[in-house]
Amino acid sequence: MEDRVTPESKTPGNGRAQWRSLEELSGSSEYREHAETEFPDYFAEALDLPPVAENAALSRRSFLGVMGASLALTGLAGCQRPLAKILPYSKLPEDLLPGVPQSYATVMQFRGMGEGILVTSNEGRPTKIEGNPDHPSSLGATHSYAQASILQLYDPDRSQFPTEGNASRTWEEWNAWLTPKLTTLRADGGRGLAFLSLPTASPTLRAKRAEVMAAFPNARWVDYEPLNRDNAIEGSRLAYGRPFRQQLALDQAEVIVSLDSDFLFVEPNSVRHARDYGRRRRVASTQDSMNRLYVVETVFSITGSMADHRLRLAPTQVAEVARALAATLTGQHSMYLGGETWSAGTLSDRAQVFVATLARDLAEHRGRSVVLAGGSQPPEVHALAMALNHALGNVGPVVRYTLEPYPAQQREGIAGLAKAMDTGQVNFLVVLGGNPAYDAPADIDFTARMRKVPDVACLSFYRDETAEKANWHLPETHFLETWGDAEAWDGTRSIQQPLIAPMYQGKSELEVLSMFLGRPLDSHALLQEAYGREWGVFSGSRWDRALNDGVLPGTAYAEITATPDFSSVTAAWSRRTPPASGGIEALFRPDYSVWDGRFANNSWMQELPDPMTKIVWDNAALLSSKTAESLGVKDGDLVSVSVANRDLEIAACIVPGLADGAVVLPLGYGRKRVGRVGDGVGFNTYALRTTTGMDIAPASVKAGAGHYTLVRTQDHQAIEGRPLVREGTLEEYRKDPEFAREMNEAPPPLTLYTNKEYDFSKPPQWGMAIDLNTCIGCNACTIACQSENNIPTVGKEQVKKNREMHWIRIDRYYVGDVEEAEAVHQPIPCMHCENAPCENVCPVNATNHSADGLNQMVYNRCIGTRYCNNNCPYKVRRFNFLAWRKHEPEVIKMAMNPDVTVRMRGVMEKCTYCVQRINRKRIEAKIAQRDIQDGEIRTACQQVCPTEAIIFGDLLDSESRVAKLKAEERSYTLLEELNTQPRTFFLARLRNPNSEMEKA
Amino acid sequence: MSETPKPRPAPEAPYGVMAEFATPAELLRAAGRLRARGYRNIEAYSPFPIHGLDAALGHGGSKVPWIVLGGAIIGASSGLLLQWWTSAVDYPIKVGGKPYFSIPAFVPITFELGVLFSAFAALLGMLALNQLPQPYHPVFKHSQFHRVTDDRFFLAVESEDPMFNVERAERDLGDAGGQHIEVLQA
Amino acid sequence: MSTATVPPEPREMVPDDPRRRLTLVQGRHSFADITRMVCAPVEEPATRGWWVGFGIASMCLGLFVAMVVYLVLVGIGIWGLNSPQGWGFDITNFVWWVGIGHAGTLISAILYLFRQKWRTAINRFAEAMTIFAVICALMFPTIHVGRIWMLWMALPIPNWEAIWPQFRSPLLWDVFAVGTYFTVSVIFWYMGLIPDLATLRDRAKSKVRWLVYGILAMGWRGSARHWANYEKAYLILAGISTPLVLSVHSIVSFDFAVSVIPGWHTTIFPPYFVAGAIFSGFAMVMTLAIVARRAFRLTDVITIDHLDNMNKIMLATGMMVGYAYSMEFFISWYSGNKYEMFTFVNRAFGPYAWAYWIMITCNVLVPQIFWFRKNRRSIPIMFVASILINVGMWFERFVIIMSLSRDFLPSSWGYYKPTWVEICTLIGSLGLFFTLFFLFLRFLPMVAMAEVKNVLPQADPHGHGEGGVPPGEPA
Repeated sequence: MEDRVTPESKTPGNGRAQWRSLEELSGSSEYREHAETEFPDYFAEALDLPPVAENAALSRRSFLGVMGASLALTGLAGCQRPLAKILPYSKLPEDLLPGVPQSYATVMQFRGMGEGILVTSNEGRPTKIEGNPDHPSSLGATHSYAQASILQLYDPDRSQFPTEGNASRTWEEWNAWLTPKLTTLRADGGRGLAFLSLPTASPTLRAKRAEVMAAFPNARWVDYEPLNRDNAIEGSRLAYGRPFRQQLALDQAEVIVSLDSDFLFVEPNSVRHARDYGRRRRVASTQDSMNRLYVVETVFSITGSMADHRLRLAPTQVAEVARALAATLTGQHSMYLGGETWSAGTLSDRAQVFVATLARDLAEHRGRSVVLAGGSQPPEVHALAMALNHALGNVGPVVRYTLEPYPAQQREGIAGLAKAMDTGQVNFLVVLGGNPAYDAPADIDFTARMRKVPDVACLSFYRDETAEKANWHLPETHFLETWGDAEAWDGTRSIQQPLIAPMYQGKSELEVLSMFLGRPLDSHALLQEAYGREWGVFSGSRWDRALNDGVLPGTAYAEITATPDFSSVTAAWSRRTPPASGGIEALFRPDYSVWDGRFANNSWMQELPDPMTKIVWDNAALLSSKTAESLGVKDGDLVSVSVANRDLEIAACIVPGLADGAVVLPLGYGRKRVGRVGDGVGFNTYALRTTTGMDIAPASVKAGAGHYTLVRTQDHQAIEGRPLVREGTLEEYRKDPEFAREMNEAPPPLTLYTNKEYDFSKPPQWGMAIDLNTCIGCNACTIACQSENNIPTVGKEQVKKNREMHWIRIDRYYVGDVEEAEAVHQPIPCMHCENAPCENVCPVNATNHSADGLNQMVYNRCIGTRYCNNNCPYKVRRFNFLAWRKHEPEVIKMAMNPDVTVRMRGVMEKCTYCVQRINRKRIEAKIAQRDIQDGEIRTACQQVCPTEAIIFGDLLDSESRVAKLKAEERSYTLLEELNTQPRTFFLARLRNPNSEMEKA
Repeated sequence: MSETPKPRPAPEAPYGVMAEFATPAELLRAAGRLRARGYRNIEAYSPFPIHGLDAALGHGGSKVPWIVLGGAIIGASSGLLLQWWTSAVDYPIKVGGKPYFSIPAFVPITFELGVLFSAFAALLGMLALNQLPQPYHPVFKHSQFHRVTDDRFFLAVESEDPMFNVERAERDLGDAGGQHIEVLQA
Repeated sequence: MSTATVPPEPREMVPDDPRRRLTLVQGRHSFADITRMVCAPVEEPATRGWWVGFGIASMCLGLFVAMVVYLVLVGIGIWGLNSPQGWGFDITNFVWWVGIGHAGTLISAILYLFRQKWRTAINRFAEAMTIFAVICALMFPTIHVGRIWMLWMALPIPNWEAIWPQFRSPLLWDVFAVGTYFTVSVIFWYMGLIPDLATLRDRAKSKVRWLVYGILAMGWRGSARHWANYEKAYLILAGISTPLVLSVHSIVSFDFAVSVIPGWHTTIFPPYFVAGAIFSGFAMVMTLAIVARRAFRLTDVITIDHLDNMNKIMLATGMMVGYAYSMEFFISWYSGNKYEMFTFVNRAFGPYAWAYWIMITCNVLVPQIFWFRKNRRSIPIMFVASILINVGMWFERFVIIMSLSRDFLPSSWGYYKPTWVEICTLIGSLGLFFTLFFLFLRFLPMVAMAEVKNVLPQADPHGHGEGGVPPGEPA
């Protein structure tokens, strides 16, 4: 991948080489041996179609080869604890039956908030993460990142031991190094000491940080996260003078307005938002109503794909819509916005109509609507959104405010720190988590600044870009390895309990800070100490209860009522310079797969198709077709994007429905020091991100030289007028509830076979409903399935050959014309047809039907003719073209679900409706001599779904949710004319457009 | 063709007398002659089948068709039985929503097995009726017989013939235009 | 008096006049001449040409073996197959070879039943070709699973899983149909060989040859009784082979016709596949015959009239497949089924249009030249045409299988392109075929001597000479 033409790859120094040199230090022959034993299979791949030079990603086969080698590395270079002996059972822990998985409640910190999860543990191995139903930010669901973080735990590329420079060290050596330093530091209150950390939702950690700062009053503490909430917090300061955090009750909103706010995925608390949004989207009868979603955005986000009305505008234009909205509401709808007068800026006709209609709708839904500003929008937009919510009376019923617990201004923080480092005011920098060398604003050039600091210590999960520049690197624990706590978005607190002893020598930030306080303790002690202090006296029962439930009741933040200072809002707007027309604006946003880059070494996330572009193993500069045309750029061409005199050669991806005059740059790719999976994958867009343009920046784009292979899991974007995703408006549905079924005329089913001995009349008969009206296409189901069913990843090269293995994929079709395209999502698992075409053609009975209506695969019977997949109209079957798992290192095997067979080469596989879960419950029910209750069995995809779009159950039980959904008029099956009698069925999608919009 | 002579029952009991002919027509005429003279156990040998020869020698029709019919019936029925027993009796498996005994889907294999068995019946039947393989046979003793697979035609009067007599046979064959008239030792 | 029979002048040839039967063997040839002519290649030392040909063929065979070993070691992933496109070169080659394998038995059986005496010139190596082609064909379903050691599960043998094969699967029908076809073809071929093996036995100079051919001939003596049973059995074999030929390729077509995939699920497939099989089979026989008759100086036995006849058959079958192509389009339009319509438009104008138009050119346009007698009787023209037709027939199967690349759900559409491994495997299979064929030419009579002698004018006892005598009539 070295030969890809990007600025990064030109930079000197190769981390891999240094990594190796470590081996030579410790003089290991094993590494070489392993390299030899692992690499022969290269010939298989080398003989494949010649890999295109610009294919950045290592193909899975080679990367696994190296991963295997990396094991040798762990084996000798540091880890005193051999992997095999991580879980010794000298005596069986209480209430643990081998073979019976246990579930523990804990919490994952992400996006500065805690997300409650339940972790399934098999014989002490955490294998699956699910949402905690009692947790307000989860309600049982999770996003794909939480699902994938289990793989992170077993990542063989994790940093496994402290290093000083390139030499491996022990924690004792680190303490030996640190202690004298601390004494000198204490002398002058820690002058020259600086901490750089991620904002945390852990009260205990915050307290510990405070303690440290108390111990070193002259030290400097800076928080920085590349995707921070500065704009929102600043906006709140504008509107209310104080940093508020919005608590949304979206299920109370009739009208939702998103100003570039991807609240269904990117914004914090998205899982809860999706759940509440979904509630108001679910329609059981023609009497039901639906909320209406207006989205103004630049990129085509999944929130945008759910919009009833979507307006695509360049980033700065979005703010103008907000302004116009205020103007219209104050002007025509006599809304009180501090009595100030608002003048609409210049907008396109379409935008004006949009705003006018939207304003009317909002005015009609005072107190039942909400205006949301996206994190990438400037503070004034957030302020105005808050003001509008207040003016519309939405504050209270829909929006509530709590105080932002950790309102540090991160951009200023990092900039200030950089200045301090520059001027030599910092002589000991401690980086706790985070990866500033990679994701700090480019104009800061953090790496160069680091060289000016005599001592840099870096606690990080990988030996990443920052760690390998620091003279001390300390391995960080995974959140499943250490004790801690975290607050949900609404403040509800959860204890983070480990499910496994640290696999390597990692320590948590809490533990490291305790070292700075001179009394190093383990996280468990630290946490109990903290809670003892909080509760007055430590209560074991209360503690156990908290661990059991995963939440501490009554810990939510107090609600705050306040009136906004309209004048400061207007003042801010008057200061705002109207956007320069013409030219191209760059918009930086998190990537749906790797977020800010922290999941770059997670093969599940890398191979997870972007919900909209369907690109895997890459990011790209997203352009609208018109913009691309004007630049003379085709999809996949390399373009050179320059922002503030910084250039980046990056592949262009043309996205229908994207705003013209904008280039969207997903962050998080182009990592150089993360691991075998993520190294050199994609393009590092941080190179263009400066302190002045963290989110939006004027850019220039020109066609570059050459073409780049972007690999998508879905090559054809149009639905070809086929009635696959059936869509109507709420109006049409009320007029004709059966509209979906009428969209396809199916001939009466005929059969040659009348003498059938079985008819699937004996309960239970399993079926699955997928409500396209609530599915937001967030991919959580795909990853949940991957984790539950031991589904391998295959690498970019193989996905390019259409060999991806996902059992449930999400088809995304664009509807309408390319410019103003709308998008629809359709999850496709196995349909479990009663008359399964795949079964008829299997010569060896390897796929056949169970009595309860499952289309099942007998792996050890499959000879691999692939005839079944040929004959599957839905193409849901997946074939192991090669031995995907051949080189899988031992440690990855720990992530496997022991209830699911790992498939070998040459075997067909597909969705089983999570038969292992069905059987477990069936056995339980049999033992208890009862029937299986509805909702007792939840498939992995159903369990994770934030909007509860997937419902599984017994079709014969008239009381079951799935049977009720089947009875709904909106329900239809795919390709019913083939008489395959699918068990998986869909509920037609409804949009709820504003009739006045059409009129105008 | 030089076959190692095997122990014979008795020298005075030869297998028969055989003569060579140059053309199918001569052979046919000779056969007709001898038969008219009252010979019954005469056999002709030729490089290719000659039409009318069977009638001239008074041979009946072949029994091969009946054997083949048997083969066809056994084959087809065993084919259907196999499919019925495995799919509907021994281990019924639900496949494609079709009945365990899906007759329409079982037709092809039934037919194919019928054909297979009849083909074997045809070959084996033919060999059996011709008592082949049979490495040794007295007629191979005839000095010219190696040409029977090339361009020569032979007629033999066998000793089983009620009116067999070496001298008479030799004379009659000579009259019929036969060359190289030789007595074949059994 | 040796070779007393002086054959008369051959009758003038008016092959296009249906009322006159054309001459089957040109020139004045005695029975002995035929024997000599046909046995020569088997008895004389191999020519340099044979060695060269055999060398090249066996090298390609080596390539085939290498590719299969590679496949077995690494897996199907080394081919270009993917999720919508589960089959590619593998099954294309299978159907193509099976198709080629059909002319042999067809020529032998059907022409025999129709008393088409000119078949005698070509039936022997047409049958050989059948057997070798079917061997090649069988290779592909065998290797296309990658883990070939699993294949036994497709056979009805009791096993520890107690699971039997799934008899509703067209693939299993293939196992039985092609297996039966192969066995019956071998039986039919062997039975035809017995008298000629006896000839070789009787002409054997060396002990080894005498022993080997002697064993194979099983002591055939050519007695009237032998011939009676032999002819009856042969007639019956021809009788059952005819429906067998038709059934086998119908069943092969079921692989597609029984599925639900647009472009596969078509009732016209059985007849259309059979016609196509005959078409390609004859083309292959033609290619081989042209070379063989030249190389082994058999122009008098395999006459220009025979080739002319075969060209007529190719013209006819070519038009049949042409009709099938157009009918597919008509039906897809007439059905009103949007998926069907799309598939066929996509065939002609989609990503695989190039393959489609190659097919049309080779299979429909090229045979049209045989409307002209001049072309039907021009060796170079028919040689090129026969090769083009085989190329075209390969692409016909390829085009059909490529229907998979764009089926019902646009989201799962893909594009298949073969890897070098698949291409080498195809070349290798040709190597396998020709290796076997060269061995056949070397060690077995490539023309059925007994049958050719039988159709010589002087073989007819009533036809000439002193005239035959009605059976049983006293002189």
